[in-house]
Amino acid sequence: MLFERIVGHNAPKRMLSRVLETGRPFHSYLFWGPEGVGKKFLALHFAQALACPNKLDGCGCSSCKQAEFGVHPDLHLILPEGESIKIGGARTMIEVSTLNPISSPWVVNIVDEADRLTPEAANSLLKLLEEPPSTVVNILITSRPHFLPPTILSRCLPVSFGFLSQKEILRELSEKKVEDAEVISRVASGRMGDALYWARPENWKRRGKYLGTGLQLASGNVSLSASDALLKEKEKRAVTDFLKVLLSLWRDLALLSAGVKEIANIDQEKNLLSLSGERAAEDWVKGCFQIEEVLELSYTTVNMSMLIVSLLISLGQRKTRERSEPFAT
Amino acid sequence: MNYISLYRKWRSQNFDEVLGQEHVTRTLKNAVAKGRIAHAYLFAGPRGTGKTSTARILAKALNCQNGPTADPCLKCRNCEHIKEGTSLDVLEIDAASNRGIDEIRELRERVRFAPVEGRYKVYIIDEVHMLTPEAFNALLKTLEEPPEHVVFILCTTEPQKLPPTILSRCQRFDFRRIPFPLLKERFAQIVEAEGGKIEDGALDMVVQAASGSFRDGESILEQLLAYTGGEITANDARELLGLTEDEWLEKLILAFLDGNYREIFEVIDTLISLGRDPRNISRDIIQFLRQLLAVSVGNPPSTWPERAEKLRVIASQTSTPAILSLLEPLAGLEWQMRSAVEPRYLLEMNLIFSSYRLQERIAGLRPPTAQPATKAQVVSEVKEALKESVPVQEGSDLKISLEEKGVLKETVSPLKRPLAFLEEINLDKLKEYWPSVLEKVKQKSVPTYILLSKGSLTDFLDGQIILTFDRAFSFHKNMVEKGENRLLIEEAIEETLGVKYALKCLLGNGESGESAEEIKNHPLVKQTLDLFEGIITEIKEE
Repeated sequence: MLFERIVGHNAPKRMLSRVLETGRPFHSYLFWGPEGVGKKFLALHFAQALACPNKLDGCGCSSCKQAEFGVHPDLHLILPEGESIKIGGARTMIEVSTLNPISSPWVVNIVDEADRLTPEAANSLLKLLEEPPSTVVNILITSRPHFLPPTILSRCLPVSFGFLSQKEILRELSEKKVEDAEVISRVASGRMGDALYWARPENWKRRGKYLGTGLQLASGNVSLSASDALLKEKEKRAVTDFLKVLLSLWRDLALLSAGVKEIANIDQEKNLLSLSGERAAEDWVKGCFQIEEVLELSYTTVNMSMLIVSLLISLGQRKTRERSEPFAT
Repeated sequence: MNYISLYRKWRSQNFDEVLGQEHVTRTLKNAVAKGRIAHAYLFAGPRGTGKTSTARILAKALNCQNGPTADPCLKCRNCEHIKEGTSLDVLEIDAASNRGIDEIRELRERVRFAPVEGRYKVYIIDEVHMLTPEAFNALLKTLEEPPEHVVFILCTTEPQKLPPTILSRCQRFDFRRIPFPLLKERFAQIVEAEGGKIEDGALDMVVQAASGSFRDGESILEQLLAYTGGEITANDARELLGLTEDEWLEKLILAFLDGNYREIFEVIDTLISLGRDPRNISRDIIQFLRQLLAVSVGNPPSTWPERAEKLRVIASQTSTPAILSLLEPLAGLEWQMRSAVEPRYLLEMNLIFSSYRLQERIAGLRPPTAQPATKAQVVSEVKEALKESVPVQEGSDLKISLEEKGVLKETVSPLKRPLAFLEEINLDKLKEYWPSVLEKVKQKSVPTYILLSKGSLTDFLDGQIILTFDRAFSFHKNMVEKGENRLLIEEAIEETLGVKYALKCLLGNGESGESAEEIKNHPLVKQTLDLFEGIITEIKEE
């Protein structure tokens, strides 16, 4: 069976299997969809199967083994150097594409995080993506397709990836015998990467701590010492993790106050139910947008301490609803 | 293994095959036929509209052994070579990867040599906007006065990035997006020629996804053919394109209009579990709403028949302003989702909230004539509300104090399908709502209310609400028109009707004022006439 080890993504898997059956791959693919759902994983397996004489991924033949260890001569993975993929990287890709494949029928180029291509690099790939030598298959991977120039998008066949369903994650977690699998599978919001991250006990413990701060905040107690403690934490992802926990909390509260019961943090259902009535749905939703905004910024190189403090203060306040303003972030 | 993708196989080979660009091809054909060949052309336009193809056709037209001719034979050695990309006289340069000054210098060196097999040396410089400024400037002289046997064709998707000195040296042709019907026809031909079959609905989806670009559409067709083995159904197309099924969209929009948050959430949840990307979902929702808007203002939808039918049904149940007020908060959604860390949450929150706002607006539009709630209900509600602020004495004068506060006039009756009240507003409707506008104004400011109450609503023209004041109340009219009062009133109108209308005040019309006779007989007028021994020549209105 093809792609056995990949969870979910049935539509792309089915499509790619058909392609392997017919042996007629398109020359340039764009794998796009949310971060951390397994796009690159599937791309690597697809490449492996293209190179394999048995048309399988991981059949144990020498080609498959080479691919697994990342030393297959016909599979090229192009990654960002630092913040971007520069024209040098693109030129190397063009060069290797002009050569005949060495041990397989195809030369496969996989560009990960293609949205990080500099404009120069992206443009220099246009010709290769449009009319490559007949033995070349390009796979561009991105979670932010809108950052690629339309000329690139138009030359690639888009393969869209979605989130995994909660059930798929739950099944995988239960197989791995993870504690709290049910809650984790909901909190992971469709990302296998996040689920496995939270499944580690030390991370899950931190989530408990953040949850406490979040609940305090929701009931109107702003504690700035929490933000100090957060910024002092050694864990690099602490701030992002905290914001993600906060966002899922606020979103649950918004859903509850709009009358929807299917929440993510089901272990906190009682607390959340009693809290949700304290503010209008509008308030919770606005909070979500604020958190999301700060969360986006946390991926850039902004000084987070001010942002976090102002976010906490703003979230802690219950807004009065004197006059409804235009709803925008 | 020597498989060639559809869009390369089906590249237009002569001017007549180029889709939807008659304004370009006709000019070029005439130019070739009359021998008026410019030495530099600029082809600009969106991706996949035929720029590179046309450039190659022009090269063939110029170098064909039976030419120069507007209809290259496609059979002679030169045509063949150009088609295969092996011609020595047609040089296709990818400016994006050869963008430096050195490459341009090399080009200038070679320009001087005469063509080998054909009449002209044709330089096709693709993606020309990526040249560096130095490279552009190095090209200027050559571009302006090249040797007689040289034709430059510059192609670009972004002409605005070219320096004006380049633009002014070229004959410019702008390529347009290819219209839907043309694309549809061509795609149908291609599928047939490739030995496949395609459902009409699937074809529509492909055309829609191609959005005017030939290449985009053919890539999709190609993969559909490989995916299905030849028989393409609407479901295949939907799956490959990651489109949301119409049934789900319909459900979502109805839940949207009804303010059924739970259903909104459930639909999104199901779609996400099916592996759909939230950005695809938001794109489809917005597209659907846009088409719904088009239908509701009376435009025929350009989409597949089943959807068109659905759109008509939904449009008949709702109204244009309702659709607009759903679309409005979603306008920024697609943009927001681009960089979102949690696009799913963002989508949920936005949809639920956009629906919430619509409900809020509808609630503000409940007509004052509806069934009033029972007194007991209102009394208990108001007691609750007043508990904190005003101590209310049980029994006694409660009713009067409530009426004074304008509370009893409020209604509590829920409306079955409240959207009906978002219908187009006309004078009658306006008159119906006017009391509640007055009430709103009164709540905001009593003085303004008193001023306004002297005017009467007489007309509704071009989005202007026209108030007429009796001549005796010209002071009131002037005050109402003044900045703060006017703003306050217009605000109240917007809050009540959900739409912004301007206010226009008129002084009582001609007849209702004092008649000319009355003015003549006025003691003051008489006295003035006597004093100055004057006569009345004209009576002017103030």
